[in-house]
Amino acid sequence: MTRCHAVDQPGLRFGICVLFLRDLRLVAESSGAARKPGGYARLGPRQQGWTPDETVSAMGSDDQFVMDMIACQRRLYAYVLSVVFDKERARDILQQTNLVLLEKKAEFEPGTNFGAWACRVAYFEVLADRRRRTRDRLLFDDEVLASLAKHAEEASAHADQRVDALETCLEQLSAEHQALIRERYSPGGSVAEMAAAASKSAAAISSILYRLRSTLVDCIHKKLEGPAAS
Amino acid sequence: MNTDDNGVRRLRRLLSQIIDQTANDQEFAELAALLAERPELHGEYLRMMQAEAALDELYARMQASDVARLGEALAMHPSDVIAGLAAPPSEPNRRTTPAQPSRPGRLSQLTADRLAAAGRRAWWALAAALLIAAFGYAVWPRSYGTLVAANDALWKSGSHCELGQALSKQWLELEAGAVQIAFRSAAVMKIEGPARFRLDGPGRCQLESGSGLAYVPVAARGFIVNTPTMHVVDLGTSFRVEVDDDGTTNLHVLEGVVEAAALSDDRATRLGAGEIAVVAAGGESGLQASGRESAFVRTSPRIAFRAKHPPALGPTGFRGDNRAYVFLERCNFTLPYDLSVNCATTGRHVQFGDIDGRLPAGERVDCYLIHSAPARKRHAVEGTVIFEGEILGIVADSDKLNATNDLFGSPWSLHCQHPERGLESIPDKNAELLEISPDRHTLRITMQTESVDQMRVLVRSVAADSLAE
Repeated sequence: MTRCHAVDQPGLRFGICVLFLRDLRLVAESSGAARKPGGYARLGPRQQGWTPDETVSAMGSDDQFVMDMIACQRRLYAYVLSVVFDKERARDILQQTNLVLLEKKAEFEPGTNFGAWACRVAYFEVLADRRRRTRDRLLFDDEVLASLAKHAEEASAHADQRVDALETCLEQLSAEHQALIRERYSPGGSVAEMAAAASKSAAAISSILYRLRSTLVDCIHKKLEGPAAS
Repeated sequence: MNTDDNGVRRLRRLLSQIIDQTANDQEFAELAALLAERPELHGEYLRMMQAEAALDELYARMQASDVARLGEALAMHPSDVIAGLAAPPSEPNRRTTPAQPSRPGRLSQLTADRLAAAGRRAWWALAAALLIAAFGYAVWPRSYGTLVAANDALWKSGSHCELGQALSKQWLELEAGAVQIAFRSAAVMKIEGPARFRLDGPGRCQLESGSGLAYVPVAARGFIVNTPTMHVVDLGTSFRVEVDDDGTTNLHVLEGVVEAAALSDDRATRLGAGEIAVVAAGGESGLQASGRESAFVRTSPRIAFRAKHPPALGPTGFRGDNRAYVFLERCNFTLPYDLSVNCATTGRHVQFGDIDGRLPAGERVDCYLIHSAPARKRHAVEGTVIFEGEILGIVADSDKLNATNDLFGSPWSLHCQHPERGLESIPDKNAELLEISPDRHTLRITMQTESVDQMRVLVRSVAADSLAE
């Protein structure tokens, strides 16, 4: 895989894509992988114990795992972004977390909370990322990070509903404000460029965006928590 | 939440500035101090960041599309890449980007500036990647993905792959069965034989023939599948591609958004969940998109069609009192073997445990899943579903439903393995009644459900055919 590491030097900040060639551990584990007639052969230590009843759903546990992984992608991104703050880093960590989840598939106990388990894996990836970034200034100390991560795990559980609520809340904004949000979040959108295009100061645009974000956060909160939230 | 609290307001303003990359070092420090000193603000901080993640989620699709297009353009002009290496422009620190000189009203200039900025970023990334790749080429093998699962996979001689094998850029021919490949970009693709395919990169695949079902997580957006007639860029999150031997390509978007174009025509078409598109052999007629697949099925008020596939479908998913839902599971699919079904003849059906007929191998079908799950203890649903194609058969027995998951279900969308998901027969108190009309286009349904009831309705494929005409 290709991993991107930020390099921060005076006047020079860019992403260096390092070819990160660590193969999935699955490769090493697969040499003795069991093969099941009519079903998917699985990798790793869960090779033993094929039963006739499993024939139909042989692919099932693998696919269930992938399904679970997919279902919690939005949650994981929200979780990681909440504790690392930087979108590029969050996507990088999410990518690494997905690979580690595949590697550690055998360690997951079916029937337990997949999302919580995946968040714990993601948290260790966040910590590993922090260790790699000793040269970067870290926004939070370890204590604050641990507290945020703990609460983020719960908060991110509603990531899907939050996106649905956001779509409704965006529709309640005026057309002008919707356009402003779209401009900000469209490819390459930045406050500096929006300010330049509108002949306004960056502070003025930032101030409008602050109010819009506040409105959206309150609206989402009300939709998720009900009227009592206000 | 008390937004009158000065701390909350200050936290929101600081966060907004940091998100917009307009905060200075002092404001970063202030935020850190605020969160360290006032743990009660952690909840507010998370609300804001989770909303930011949701905003990013909504708008990231456009970004992935543009990046993918830029990457395509760069890949086509290696000489430009070399020229770009010779004089790479520098980029300002993101956190302290100063405001650009005012360019009032020049939105086109803004767009051009953005493209130029994106280009500069791409040059840098590409330049760095090329330099390191040149060094790494001799040391590391170039592997783009890993074979992570196989189901009765029969490889053509010379193409054999072992489970766990790292896959590089080489043509692979799967004669039968299915395999799952985890790409280095974190995309996962299931390929069903007979198929001929090649991994062209960590996030890119060439499917010359066969069927591919792709799931593309957030981290892998921009994943590309090329067929002899179609170019598909996934903007998240899953789609299915079926390539006939003559190159005709059928695309069915299961969730999220993709951009597709006929190779003979550069105009890309954006397709959302539930939409299908076809490029016929030769590709001269370009890409024909369906609008919604719902154009091929009409339902009565108590039975609703849903284009978007849920992440999972079981007793706890997609519940609705006195309502049932219809999903298109698989479109324009050729049955690989004779398939027995529980209902095949026209008229009323009240017994679902027996075999009523057999669909021959080679039949082209669209498969619809009908799902009923009450939010309360029990519910009843009555209604009709009218299909554009003829109803060929219905799979209604639990064991048979589970046994055909692999054939029709998409593992990361409509998979369900509930042992009692099938229809109940008379005299069960929850017995269902189905009636297939004499012209085979209308299915009348009476369902009584306590946990979950599902059936697969196999219809002669018309969606893709009507597009290709």
